[in-house]
Amino acid sequence: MNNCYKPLAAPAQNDAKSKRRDRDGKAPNGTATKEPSLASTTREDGRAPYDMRQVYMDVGVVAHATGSAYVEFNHTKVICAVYGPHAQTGGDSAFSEEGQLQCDFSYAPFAMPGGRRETRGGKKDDERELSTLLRQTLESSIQVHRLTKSVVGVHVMVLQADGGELAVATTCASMALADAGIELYDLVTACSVGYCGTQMVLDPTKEEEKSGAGVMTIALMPGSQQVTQWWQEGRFDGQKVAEALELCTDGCGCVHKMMEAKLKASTTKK
Amino acid sequence: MEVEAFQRLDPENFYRRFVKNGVRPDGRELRAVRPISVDVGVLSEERVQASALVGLGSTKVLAGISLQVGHPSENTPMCGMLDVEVKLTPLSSSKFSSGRPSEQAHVLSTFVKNSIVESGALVLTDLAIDDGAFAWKLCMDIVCLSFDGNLADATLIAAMGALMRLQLPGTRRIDDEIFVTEDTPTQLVVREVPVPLTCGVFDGIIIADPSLLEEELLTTHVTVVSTSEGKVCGVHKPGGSCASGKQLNECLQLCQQHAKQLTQTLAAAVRIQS
Repeated sequence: MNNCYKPLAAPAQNDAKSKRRDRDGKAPNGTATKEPSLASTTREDGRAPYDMRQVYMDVGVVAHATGSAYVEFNHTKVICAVYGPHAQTGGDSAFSEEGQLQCDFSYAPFAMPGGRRETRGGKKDDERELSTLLRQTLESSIQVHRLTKSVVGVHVMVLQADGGELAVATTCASMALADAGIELYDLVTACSVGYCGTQMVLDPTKEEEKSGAGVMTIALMPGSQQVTQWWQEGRFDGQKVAEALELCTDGCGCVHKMMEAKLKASTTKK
Repeated sequence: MEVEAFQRLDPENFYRRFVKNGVRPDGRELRAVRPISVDVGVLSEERVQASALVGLGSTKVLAGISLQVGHPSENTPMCGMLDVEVKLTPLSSSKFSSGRPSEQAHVLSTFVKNSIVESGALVLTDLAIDDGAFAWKLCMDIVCLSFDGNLADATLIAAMGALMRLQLPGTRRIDDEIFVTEDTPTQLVVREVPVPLTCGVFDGIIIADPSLLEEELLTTHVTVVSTSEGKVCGVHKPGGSCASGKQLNECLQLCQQHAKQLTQTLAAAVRIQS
């Protein structure tokens, strides 16, 4: 079979003429045109603007990894495994006295709603970019001077993407690093905020990310209140940025509490 | 000598001492299979048509099916297609690397596809749409999340779990294109439930469901695929040392016994979700 495509939702019976291909898999006339009502206090999934999604976390999920974690923000599901530290083997990175972090961020073939993701040709551009971002985010939380001449490998896979993948991946990877017993200054937690013109929404879904004007993702070490990464796409009004930052910080605080509780529980269990 | 040091320095003799006494390092009997958990519909079905998460001890795999439509090819009229791709990620084990799929991944993909199609579990003409002008293509991706041996069993069980969960949406043809409608989806007919059991041979002794530690010590292994009624739909013995007819017979019997239990587990998992 050649030229296979993902079938789209059928247009309503009466306006079959206006069919058009929309590769995002959205209904041509259905949900795409439905504006989320900004004035109302509840969102599409029933949350208030400053509510986070339902969170589930677990550690030690991958059998032979040094450390691992699984984090789920409702439909965004991420798994991470940490291997190492092991000796630097040359390869593509230059020799370094200090420890190095290698991040590998990937999407499962079925992670995106737009149908199957082609994974045969190796890493895609977005995965490369997210790998780099993730490495930068985590690097400053690790006590690299304690890991002389060694490498720590962090592998993250997004099993299902529904907004905030980078934030969830950061949280998940930081938990996996802690589970692996890598010496850290602090956990890194991340959280995103979407801006829909008038209203700020915490922890946006993919649909909200797309319909809004901008998305801001902040990665933070809550203990020292230091920001390790600020990643923003789209526009935010100048005076709203501070408000968004504060909202992100609050969100990170909530996530941090859950991470801490989970990690503590996992150590007592052992 | 410390137990761990002994295991590291001389894994073969370490293991031999266990097997002589009829147990294995993880406490199992020689023919015991690790606990199997099956969860279907773990991923949101607005995004992926069907999914199943299978845990075989601490080996975990996740299978997802996405749907595409296309025209059946001229050689196989009325037939849809099943495309299986197994992904062995460096996340699941340091033995796997990223980049191009390894030979092992290809072998597993073919094994899963053949087991499903050749056993008659999935009849490809069932996938025809609009009297064969179009047909469904099932894109099945199986991702290994945690590797602790015996991927053949885990991948095929996950594949069957997802397949039994799969519902084909209603369709409408407009001009020369297929659209999905809101009509009640039809359950895909799964005609047989082929389930696997891998056995390994160590010192001429048969060991069921080898873990990662054991896989490295076994001289050969045999995967038998069978249905709950005991019909054997596939045997896969990839090289290794020679196995006697008696040993192979034993593997066949073990698989047939195991199949009854396993098909029930699968059916129960699918029933709970629907």
